[in-house]
Amino acid sequence: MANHSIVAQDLVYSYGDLKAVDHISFEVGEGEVLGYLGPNGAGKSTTVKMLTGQIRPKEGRATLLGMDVAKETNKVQEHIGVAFETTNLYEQMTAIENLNLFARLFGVKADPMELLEKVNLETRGKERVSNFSKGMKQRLMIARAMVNNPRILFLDEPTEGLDPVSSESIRDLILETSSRGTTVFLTTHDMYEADKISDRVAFVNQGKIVALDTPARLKRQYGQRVIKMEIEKEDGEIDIREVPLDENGAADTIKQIMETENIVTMHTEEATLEDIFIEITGRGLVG
Amino acid sequence: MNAKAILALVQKDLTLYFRNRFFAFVSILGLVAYIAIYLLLPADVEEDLTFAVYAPTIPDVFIEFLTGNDLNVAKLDSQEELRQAVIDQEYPAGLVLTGDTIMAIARGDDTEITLYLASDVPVEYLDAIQTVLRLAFNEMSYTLSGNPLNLQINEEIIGPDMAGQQLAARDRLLPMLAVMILVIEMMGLGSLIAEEVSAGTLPALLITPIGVPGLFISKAVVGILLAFTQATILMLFTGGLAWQPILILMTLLLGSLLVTGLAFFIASFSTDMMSVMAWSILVIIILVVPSYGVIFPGTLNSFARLIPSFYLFDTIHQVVNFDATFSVVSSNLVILLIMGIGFMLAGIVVMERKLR
Ligand SMILES: Nc1ncnc2c1ncn2[C@@H]1O[C@H](COP(=O)(O)OP(=O)(O)O)[C@@H](O)[C@H]1O
Ligand SMILES: [Mg+2]
Repeated sequence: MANHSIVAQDLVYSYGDLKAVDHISFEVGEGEVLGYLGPNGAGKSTTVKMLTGQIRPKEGRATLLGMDVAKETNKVQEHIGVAFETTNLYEQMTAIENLNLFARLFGVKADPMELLEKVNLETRGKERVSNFSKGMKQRLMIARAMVNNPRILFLDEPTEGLDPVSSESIRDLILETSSRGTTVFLTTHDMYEADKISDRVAFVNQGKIVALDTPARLKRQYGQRVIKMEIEKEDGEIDIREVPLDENGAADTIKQIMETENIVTMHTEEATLEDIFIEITGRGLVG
Repeated sequence: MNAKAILALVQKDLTLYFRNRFFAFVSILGLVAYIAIYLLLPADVEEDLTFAVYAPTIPDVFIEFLTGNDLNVAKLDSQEELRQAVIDQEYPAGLVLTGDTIMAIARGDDTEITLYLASDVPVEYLDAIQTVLRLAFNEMSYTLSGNPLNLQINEEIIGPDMAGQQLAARDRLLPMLAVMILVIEMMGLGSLIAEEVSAGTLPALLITPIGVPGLFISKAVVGILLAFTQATILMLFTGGLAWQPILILMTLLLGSLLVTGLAFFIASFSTDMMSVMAWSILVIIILVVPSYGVIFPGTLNSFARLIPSFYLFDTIHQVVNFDATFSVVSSNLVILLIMGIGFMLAGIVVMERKLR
């Protein structure tokens, strides 16, 4: 267990009668990026709150860097960074002031300019946060989470509601951080994001982890590769045909189509994590 | 929790406070306006000190004995009338002189007289009256009998507060200005706390080593600092610190604690700045009520003593206007301390439950 940054054992949390997290267990290795993928209300944020000591699990135990979160909350919190789901910066203070405040609260020396450079905000440090765009605020949130040079970074839907360019820059930042050895716990309901930057992905639904593996293995295990073909019919209309590649007789079927039909385009298509999520849970990631 | 982190939070709150144009404006404008009000109001005392006497069997020449430099004597026609006049605040004190009393004085015998007083007559007024009476009767006795007089003056308090009667309008208003300055801060601090909740910054603070106790300490420091500084500036400009600065500063400090406690309490069930405002106004109106006792003496009943600010008004009034000593106001101060801590704890308890 020594090389596990995060160990969750049988975590349970309920709000009144509602079981938001229902016996969840997993481990995250040092330097690993775990994508915690699930639709709204799956229990992702509640899990983050338990792992980071913001709320106490009703059952089970969370261990971070070998320390029990419930027992050594303060000590654990010194070594983690949290970027919250909703932006909670001091809007009437500048970016630099925000970072300096948290450095002082953690009792650490941090160079705000260096942090701002990491998130590409170095030219905006002296501006009040209230002038920032959503993407800039989100990046500043991450910079703030890194102010104490954390060994584990928790990011709760960091790209939620951002434009593609901003999202991409945040993803690059996460990859860069992880490449320097920081463990990253990333919640998202974006299957593309989970696929692209996670070492492993946990599928969360209704407070339970229903699958946990590398994106590649999940696809191999659950997903089907298909050959997708566009066929032009005699009346000029386009028909789409999909042939599962891993089924018996796939080659024969394709051969037959090629001989008899007028194929316009043809390509293989991999199952997406969303396809697999639907296959496992019977529901999609959005809505 | 450590001192450096608390200091960081205090500085942060002060920065935010003064960047909030509304609060910065209200604070500075309020301070300027209150000082101006004080300086513009009349500084003169309008009434002389008049003293009522009912002396049915005694020639006027004896009564004139009593008239000193600062004292006017009004002759009334019956004991009933005298008592009523004191109760009605026409006179701060009244004295019934019977023929027997005068005979005793004339013989130089031990003599007891009863002084009817309005309640809460300031100590120095009482001293003044007693001194004048002693001097006058002694002189009378010495002239008539050749003996010094052993005079005992009993006090019977029968009327409501008359103490304000001898005060200039602006000095009567000063306790209210001081309390207003303190009370307005309630809104400022309440909003700082409520915004921490509505902007969601509280969870961000709570995952730092500052912890819940450090957070509350820093807020208390900010509240007391803001309220105390402004009230002190007001007192400085209005001469309120001239006589007993330490006692006044102590009172203002306890008053700041009280309004900080109230701010915690208000913030604990408010969700944003607007709800803090709404609740604060309600509370402020209640808190200002006891000031009527100072501005319009005798208009309050004991119900006012249930309002925490009563002890603040009363203490500032007595100390600034009557130079009351620590021992006179110490019970007020203790009550203020208890109420301040009480409200603060109540607010902390409610807020802690909300945080969980
Ligand atoms: N403070 C709360 N009080 C009551 N129910 C809550 C609270 N926070 C979350 N929930 C409920 O718990 C479930 C899980 O929420 P959450 O962990 O926020 O999910 P996610 O982050 O995956 O969207 C949801 O059904 C949500 O409505
Ligand atoms: Mg969430």
